[in-house]
Amino acid sequence: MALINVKTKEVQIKIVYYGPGRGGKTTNLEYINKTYREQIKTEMVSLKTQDDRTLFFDFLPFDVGQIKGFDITIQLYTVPGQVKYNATRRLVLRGVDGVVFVADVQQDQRKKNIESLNQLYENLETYNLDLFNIPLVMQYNKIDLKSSDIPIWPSKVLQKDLNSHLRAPAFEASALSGGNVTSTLKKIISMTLASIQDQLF
Amino acid sequence: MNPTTELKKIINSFENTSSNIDIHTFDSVISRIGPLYKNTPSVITLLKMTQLLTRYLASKQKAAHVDALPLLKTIIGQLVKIVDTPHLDQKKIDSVVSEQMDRYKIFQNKIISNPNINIKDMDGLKAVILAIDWEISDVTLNNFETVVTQLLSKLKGYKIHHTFLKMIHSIGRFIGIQKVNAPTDSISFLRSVFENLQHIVQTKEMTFNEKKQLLEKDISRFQDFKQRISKPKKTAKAQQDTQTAQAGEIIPALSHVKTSPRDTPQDLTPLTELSEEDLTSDHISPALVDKHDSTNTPRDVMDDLFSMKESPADELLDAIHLMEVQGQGGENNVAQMFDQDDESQTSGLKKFTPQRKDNTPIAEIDSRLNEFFNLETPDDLLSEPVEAEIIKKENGDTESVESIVPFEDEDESFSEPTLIDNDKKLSDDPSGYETLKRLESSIKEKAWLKDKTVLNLIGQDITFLKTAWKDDIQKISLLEIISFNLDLSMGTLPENQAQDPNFLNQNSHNMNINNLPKGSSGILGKIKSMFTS
Repeated sequence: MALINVKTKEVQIKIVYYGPGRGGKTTNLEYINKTYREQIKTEMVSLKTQDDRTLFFDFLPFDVGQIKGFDITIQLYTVPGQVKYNATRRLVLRGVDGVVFVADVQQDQRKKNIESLNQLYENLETYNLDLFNIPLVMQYNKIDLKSSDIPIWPSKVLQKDLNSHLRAPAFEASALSGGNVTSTLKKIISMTLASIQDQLF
Repeated sequence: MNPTTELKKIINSFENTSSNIDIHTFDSVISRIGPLYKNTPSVITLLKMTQLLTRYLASKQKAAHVDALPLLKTIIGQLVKIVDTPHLDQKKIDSVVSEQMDRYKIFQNKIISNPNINIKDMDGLKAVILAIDWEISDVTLNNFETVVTQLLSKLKGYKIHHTFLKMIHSIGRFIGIQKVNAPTDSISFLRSVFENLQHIVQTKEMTFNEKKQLLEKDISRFQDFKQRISKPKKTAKAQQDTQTAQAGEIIPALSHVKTSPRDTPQDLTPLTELSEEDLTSDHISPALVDKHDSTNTPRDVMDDLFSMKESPADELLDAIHLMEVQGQGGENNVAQMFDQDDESQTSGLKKFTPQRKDNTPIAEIDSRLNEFFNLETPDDLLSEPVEAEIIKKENGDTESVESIVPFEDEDESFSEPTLIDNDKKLSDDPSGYETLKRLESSIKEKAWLKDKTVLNLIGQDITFLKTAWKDDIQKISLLEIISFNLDLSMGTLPENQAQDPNFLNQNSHNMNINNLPKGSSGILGKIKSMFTS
């Protein structure tokens, strides 16, 4: 939940990048951390296995500056994608304000995307949060594989698979090259802040 | 034939193996001897032990304990001796029976508590279970299957150990089949059953009853687990949906969940596409290019576990560890602990749970984010028409139209300069810094310099900057150098200037390059550094 300190005029929101393993959640954060290094100023915390898989979570906090006199702090988290780490995923989701669901467009990942999104719904339910109500942005990552021999799904298929009920804003993206990474992030921050602006500004 | 002679014959037919024991023939011989000696307790006792041992051997066959057959032969030998020697001293008979009973009890303890399982076997089993815990893959599951099957065969004669292994086998197979759909506590349950098996193997002094109690406890947990996974619930439905999907038809995510009535699955939602150009453009540095740069490398906090907690990441990490230490149910305890912490720290704080209400962000949010991310055009300008279109569709006023928004990246590296008149520019960017940044990004992209529109825009930016900085001779001189170099590289320099080697010097005669701020590379860098120095 968004923390608002009315005395010090500070707002803190927590955005979680969720999705199947090896989908590009960490790469999203790494791109943001690298591209906006000067603005971000804080360090990214990342706990990985030797084969570069997220062990617990990634964490990237930064201040975006003031909006109507409130200092806005954003905390970005990723969850571990591997199936067995669901308990950790649930813990990371605690207090979440906005979610970016990073889906993998590769054809053999279709089922995993759906399973992961279904599990996200259940995990949020444990905190009495409803995926249909929480600020959410879909990201269809690895779209750059179009130019390779690896078969991928058209975004329309992913929209139907993942977004036909949720109706969240969706972005095709290439986290590796940074395509639409910033747009995705800006959108989720904007949506999340907009959802609490009535309480704030 | 005398039954005892017959018994001797049968026993002599037993060789080193117990696989050929004919339990029916043996039982029939025993049943004929029994009534003959019903008033001789010593004989009856020996017969009972013989009968039990024979049954044990017949049931275990090759898996029977190696001491079983020699013991049976000895007892039958003593039995025949007592039967064949009618005037044997009663004390001697009692002593023989007592001795055989002791040997029988020792043997009984052996088969109950000491299976032929060594540390290496248990380590092997532990390794395959931990491998599944680490990653559920075909390789780890195959290894698990191989190791457990071997152990099941090895421990066939030891009911308690065998039952533990059967449970481990079933849970492991279940996890292998269910993978993502397996209940989250499946692996921890598998590990706990293994730990109990390990406990009874390693604790030699444990009595049979203690082992039995532990086994019964785990059987009860296993039954609960089975009941729980067979209960119809939302996840089961989702699972079924996924299985159907695997068979050919994919069921969209969350189809098993009640959706908001306003949502119609047929309509597609706004999608921002990534164009071919963006995908193939080489002007974006890959995200992981300088992954090994120590200054940008994410912090590894594995070594900081016991240090003072500085960030929410440290606290979360502790919570994860605590959860792992506490095992099953630990997650709830951790959550409760967090809640308590929160309550004590919330004075002066307000908490809001954001709700997606399709609120339009106030202008300040967009402008702040655009500024932070160095974006020129708010992406909402692109998606607004689409969202409006969807609202219409929701109201049923218009037909369903596919809502795909063409991609435009707002990254600094992607942003193209736009034509803005100088007056407006001056009011928007009085210092000229934003224009300078745009000029820098335009010039850096060599591919753009081939585009006449971009060149025009660069020219306009330079003209604007010259106006904005008309009183700053150093900046103007540097701008002249940029103009000159651009013209030179583009081949647009007037012929008389291109051939005049002093042209640059004439234009920069008022500027002492040594007075410029140090530490900035390139002319643009030097100009930018003037803003900060």
